[in-house]
Amino acid sequence: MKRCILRLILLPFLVACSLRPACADEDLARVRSRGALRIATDATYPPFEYIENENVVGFDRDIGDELGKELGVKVQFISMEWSGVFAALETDKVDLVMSGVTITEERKKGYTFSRPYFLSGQVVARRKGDTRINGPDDLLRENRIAAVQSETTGQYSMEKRGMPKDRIHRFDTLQDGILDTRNKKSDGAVGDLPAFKDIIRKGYPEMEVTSKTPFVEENLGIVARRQGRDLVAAINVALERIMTDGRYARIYEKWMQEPLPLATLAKLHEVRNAGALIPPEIVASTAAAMAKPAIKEADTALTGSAFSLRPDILKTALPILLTGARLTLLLTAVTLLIGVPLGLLVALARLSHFGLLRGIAMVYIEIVRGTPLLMQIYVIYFVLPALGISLPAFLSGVAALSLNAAAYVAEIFRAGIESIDTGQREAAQALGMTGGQTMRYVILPQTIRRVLPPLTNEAAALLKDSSLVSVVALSELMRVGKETATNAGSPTTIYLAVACIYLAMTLPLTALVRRLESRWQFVRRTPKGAK
Amino acid sequence: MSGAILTVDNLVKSFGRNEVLKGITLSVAEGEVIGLIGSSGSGKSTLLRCINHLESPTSGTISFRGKTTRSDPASLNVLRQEVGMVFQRFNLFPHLTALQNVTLAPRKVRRIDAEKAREEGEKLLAQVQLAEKADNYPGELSGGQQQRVAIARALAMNPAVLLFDEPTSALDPELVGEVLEVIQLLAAQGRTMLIATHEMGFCREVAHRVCFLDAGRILEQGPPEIIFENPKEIRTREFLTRALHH
Repeated sequence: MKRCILRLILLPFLVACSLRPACADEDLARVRSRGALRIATDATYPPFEYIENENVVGFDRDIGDELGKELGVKVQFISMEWSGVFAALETDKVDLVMSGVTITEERKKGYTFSRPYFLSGQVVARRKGDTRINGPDDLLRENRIAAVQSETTGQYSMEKRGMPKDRIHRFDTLQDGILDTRNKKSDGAVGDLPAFKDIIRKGYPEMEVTSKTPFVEENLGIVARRQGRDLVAAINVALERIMTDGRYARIYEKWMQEPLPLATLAKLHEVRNAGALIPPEIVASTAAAMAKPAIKEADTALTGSAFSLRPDILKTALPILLTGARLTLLLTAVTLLIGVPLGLLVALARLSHFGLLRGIAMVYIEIVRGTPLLMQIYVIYFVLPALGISLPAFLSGVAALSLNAAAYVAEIFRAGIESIDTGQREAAQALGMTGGQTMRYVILPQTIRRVLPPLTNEAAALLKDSSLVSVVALSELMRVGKETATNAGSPTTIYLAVACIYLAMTLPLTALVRRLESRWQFVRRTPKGAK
Repeated sequence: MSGAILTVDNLVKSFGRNEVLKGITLSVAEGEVIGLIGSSGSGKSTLLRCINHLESPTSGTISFRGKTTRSDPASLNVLRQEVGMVFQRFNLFPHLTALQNVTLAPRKVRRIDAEKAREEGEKLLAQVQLAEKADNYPGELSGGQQQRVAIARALAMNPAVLLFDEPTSALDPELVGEVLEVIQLLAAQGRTMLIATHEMGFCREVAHRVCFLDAGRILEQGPPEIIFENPKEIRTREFLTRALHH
């Protein structure tokens, strides 16, 4: 169901990481001795995982907790961007990924999958009563457009059917895909059944799925590292117990809002070898849990449309968003405190008389400017540990953002310094001032006034760019916003609130700078009486 | 007038292939005021800028009090404290007040304490008739006032020699007088000065010796009354005719 990671970017690093001396399968022992099972998840995917009251909840969460009980360890769920979960697994920052991951042959090459623990599949969602669309093939017709979550099996299944790429609208979240169809920008959304049901129930009464039978069936598995086969063997045993003693059925009902279909457990048993090839302990299946009386399917909408603004949900959402905002501010402030002085030093090195210093500064600036910030964050968080430098998430974020900002700040300072009239330097030198004194007392005070506007730009950009560090599991404002929006029922309200909070942070900054600028006005007046 | 304080010997300065100074030899006695005249591009500014090494000479030597000056940073800082300069475009520091412009170098270079530097600075500003503008920024002053602050700033380091690089060329005509007055006052105090200028009347009045530069050479030099009234060289005569009647 879910996206493939940014494999292309990451591949070289993952290869580098896997070059560490291969330790044989001992993940289970390490989890046991640590007493904690660390599980990465992208908690924007109800009903499997999403954030409620600052906790990860959902189907995967409950299954994960049961696994912990079976293994006799505590369970920690760590929410991060989907694009970061596999990298976190590779670099041993977590033991497992549980994020509604589809078992595919491609992924099996790189990771160890548990036996399937959920049967899922692709369906099409349409606007209620739009009878033109009854299945995936109706979307293939000329000029029709499908909306999907980017790099998921939903996208792949449509591509496999021969749908041209430019007619597939790809989005970050499945919610955005539904929204696109709701807005008549696409004709149908393709994704998996349980997720669609949940989204529609929570905020899109005007949408429906075309069929309750998937047109492509998929197995979801729990993912461990390649060397984690022992852990997976234990997980498989635990899953067997959970499935057979009724816990699975309970959790299923709780989150899927319908009873566990009779055939499902049998099917899950049938495909028990679809995960990694580990000598499986075959446990006899019991049907005890499946014999339960049916509970009526809850299919009615719980709340209003996703479009109605619902200020009432802000009461609970706002405090959560503000914790995200606090982290965003802290990240930005610390980054500026490090990045601006560092940038000034780099600028001075760039203008230095020493060729070596100048060369180092130039290489640094070119590397930072020439690579994506996201990549730099990955390198610092996921690749440096392979070289023995392991920084915690916050420090990694600050380090990546500071190193990035410093390069841009350096160029701003350099342009500022070079814009000062050479007469200023000559006048200072003619008075016997050294190069350092000239820079400190004459050039820099004038430079700072001039670079203030571009520096403000940089600070505002930084405030927003800081959202990229959510890939290393930092719950800053944008990440918290996404997590809240997937569950709150009215994403519009949440995103509007997030936008307002960002504005509330940037506006005081620009106001402050405007005041500073007018205070330093004297620099700009043109001399009177000069020709 | 006592012995030579500044000697320039066979100074050559090229910018790329363009030879601007083609062997200048000049000796300046203590207390002497030298006027440098000549058309634009004759090398007056370059000569002054070479004397305090704002431009490094291509060849030839410049000696101060008998010692050849060198281009390394340490020697330069010493030389420049002894040789002050006033620029055509003032080059005041726009982020500092008039008083701060005057006191910056004494405080940071001579390490005089702030209180004493302020007293000295106020005296110097009073000397150039600008006591009441001490707290104004350069942007709030007229061109003539700015140039007088620039002179006070140069004087604050108490240099043995003052170089003036066309100090009135960037000024409106009505503001020229106030600046020339200040320079005349300095001459009367016995300051050693080299003044590149286009103000012929002023030059004649204030200079003890006038040098006429032509195409990178000192073509003719002598007391002002001789140079201005009875120049030997035909080029000098032509220049003066143009300069006095334009």
